[in-house]
Amino acid sequence: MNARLLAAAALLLFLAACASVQPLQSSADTAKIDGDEKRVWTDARDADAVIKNSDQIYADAAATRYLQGVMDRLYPEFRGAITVHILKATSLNAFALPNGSVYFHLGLLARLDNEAQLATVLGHEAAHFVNKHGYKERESAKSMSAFAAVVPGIGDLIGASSIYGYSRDLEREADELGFQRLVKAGYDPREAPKTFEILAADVKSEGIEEPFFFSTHPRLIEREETLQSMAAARPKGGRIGRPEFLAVTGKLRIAALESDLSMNHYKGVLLVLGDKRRLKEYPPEAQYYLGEAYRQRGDKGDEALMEKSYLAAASSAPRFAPAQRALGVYYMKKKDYRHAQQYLAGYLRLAPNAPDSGYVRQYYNDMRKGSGK
Amino acid sequence: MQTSRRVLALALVFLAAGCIPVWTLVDANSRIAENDAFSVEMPTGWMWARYRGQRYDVLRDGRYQPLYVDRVWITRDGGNLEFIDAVRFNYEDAFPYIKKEYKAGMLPSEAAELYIANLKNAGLDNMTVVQNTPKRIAGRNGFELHIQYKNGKGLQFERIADAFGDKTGFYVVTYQAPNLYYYPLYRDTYYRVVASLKIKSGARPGKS
Amino acid sequence: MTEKVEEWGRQASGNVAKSLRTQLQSRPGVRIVTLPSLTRDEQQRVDQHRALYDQVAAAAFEHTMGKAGENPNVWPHKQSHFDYTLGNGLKFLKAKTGADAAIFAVGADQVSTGGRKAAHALGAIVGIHVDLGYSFLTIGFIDLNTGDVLWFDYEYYGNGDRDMRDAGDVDGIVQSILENYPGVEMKNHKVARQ
Repeated sequence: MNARLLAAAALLLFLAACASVQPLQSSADTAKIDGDEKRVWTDARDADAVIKNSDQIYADAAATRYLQGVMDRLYPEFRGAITVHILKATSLNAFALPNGSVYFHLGLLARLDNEAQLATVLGHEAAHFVNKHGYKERESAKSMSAFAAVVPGIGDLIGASSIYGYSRDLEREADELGFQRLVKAGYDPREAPKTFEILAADVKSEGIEEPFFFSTHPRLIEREETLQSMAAARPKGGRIGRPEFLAVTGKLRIAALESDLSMNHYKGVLLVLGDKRRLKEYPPEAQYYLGEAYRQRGDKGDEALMEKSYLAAASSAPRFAPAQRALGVYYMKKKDYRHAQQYLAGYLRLAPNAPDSGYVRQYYNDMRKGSGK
Repeated sequence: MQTSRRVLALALVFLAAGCIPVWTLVDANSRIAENDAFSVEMPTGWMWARYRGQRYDVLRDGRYQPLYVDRVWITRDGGNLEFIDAVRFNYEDAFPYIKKEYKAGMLPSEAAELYIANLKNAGLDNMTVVQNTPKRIAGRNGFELHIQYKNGKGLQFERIADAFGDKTGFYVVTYQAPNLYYYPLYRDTYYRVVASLKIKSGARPGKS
Repeated sequence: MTEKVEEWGRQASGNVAKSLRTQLQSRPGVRIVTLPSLTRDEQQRVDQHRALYDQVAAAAFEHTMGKAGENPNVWPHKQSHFDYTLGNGLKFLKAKTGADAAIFAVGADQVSTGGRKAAHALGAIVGIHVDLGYSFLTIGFIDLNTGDVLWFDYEYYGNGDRDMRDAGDVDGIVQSILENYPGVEMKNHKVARQ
């Protein structure tokens, strides 16, 4: 009796999940949202409010305008409906809410190389919005969870495949639509697969299975290969926009390094600044951040690399105070008090009111008094 | 004697594991909170959460897992409003979210750096450090941090952390309250608690 | 799973506001003043205090609502000396509106859809309990001069017995809460419900 009842329930719920959902055609369509769809918009608006209230938005008007401009070039008919924000988050991620809010993590933005790669990610995210993937996922999750409430155990098996986040099929759909938009807007399609190389490299360097965001996505390699074959089918050429991208993102790329280091996330810093080609795109003081990453990693041989980086920063950017402090503290710990005092004094001259000057003064005075610590 | 003490110890562990709340109202006769590692003087009229005496929960792999610590956690109105928390960690448990240890002889600025990184990885990644200075606490060289962050409704919280390491472990005393009205109200009370901190001479070594 | 429905929320809070106004206005010495339009600064201050109220109400609820013997989180000393407050940051509202107190009504209502009700029925057959929903409303009176929580109480109905989209249901819930409200002379009232 029970088995037949459950089978009937499963059939009903499965049919409910298959209701067809039409993609948005333009901004005008967003005014026609009603019924069940309205609820995902309500939740999206609440999420917008929480993000704004808790100060998670990275304030860089020029960079934000730049990202919005690229998005509007990709989806001109959705101008006004899709709004791009940069988040302070350091992880490599971006997401689109069902109401058209697109959030781009600082960590991912700082890791990209050019405008075409930026457009790849923006194109993909907006495709989720245009094709109402958030709503589709919610509807199918609802059916599954209602079923799960009746029969615990089987519910878990169903839940494991797609309850939170998007499914493999929806990700593939977004990659394809995003790619079409990328090409239509005149970008070089060969940059698209490189975005996944960047993501895969980060995953590898962090040594994690796959970050949450991508664990619900088809494997990165799979997606990279798909985009590679799509790009190969296209004629060569298209906009890459590297100089513009690097210019607009100059400040935030430094902020991302500082943020990563403040969280002890040195692997990402090493990935970027350890690459000579990328290091060139940073100002000379970036050697200091590289030194900090070596210090945080603290592997065999890192001390020498760290000292070399600090010295490079100090000589090529003599007015950059942090490099002076870093060398001062390093020499103090090695009991080379002469050099330590020289650099710490240099730091205090350059940045007498720095927030951490209290430590530096204490270390300097202690050395002068002869206690050494 | 030994059996009953073990039974009592087990009972306490089960109590902590089950998280059955046990509160003590601090009055003039019960101001000193003591454990194996340290003692502090608590302000009267505050509530001492005794069930939090040995547990410090760390979120790992999606689940809260306990670290065993020495801890005194108090509040006057409820943890949603304000609390003062004094904890002693073993060196290897000092920064669990970044999998780093406290090392004896570490510079206070280095310990502060790891403490901040740990806190950000614990979930406060949108926090701002508004002050980070060296400070002598309980006769040891340590540091003081002032941190601010906003919750999802835009309410700003302020937190002070006073911390140091010595041969017996890594100690952190924290005070948190909403910036609006509450934070300045009990800040002096907090500093009196910090000033009352005494590390016991027989406290176990920092490296377990 | 739960989903927020904006229109229902608006309907429920509209019902609560109307109910409170009707039931309190009938009491001697009470006049209801509607919150006027505020400047951006004033609105920000109100929003900040609203966010603070959520923390204060949660703490007051956790530590003073219920029986100390049954619930270990209930503190008898806080019940007898109930001193929860928002501080005097809303004093400007008293000057602006002439009101003595502000009423904060915060609640939630969960209703079951047809699918869930079917699951409930099915669950009953196979012996598994499925929640049908609840109605929860808290009411706090704040002295605008001092920010003190003058009075605070709540009602909770489980089993989907009430639906706050229904004005009649809300009237009943508000009446039940206000039954314990001691009236305008509440300056000395510091005792929370036992």
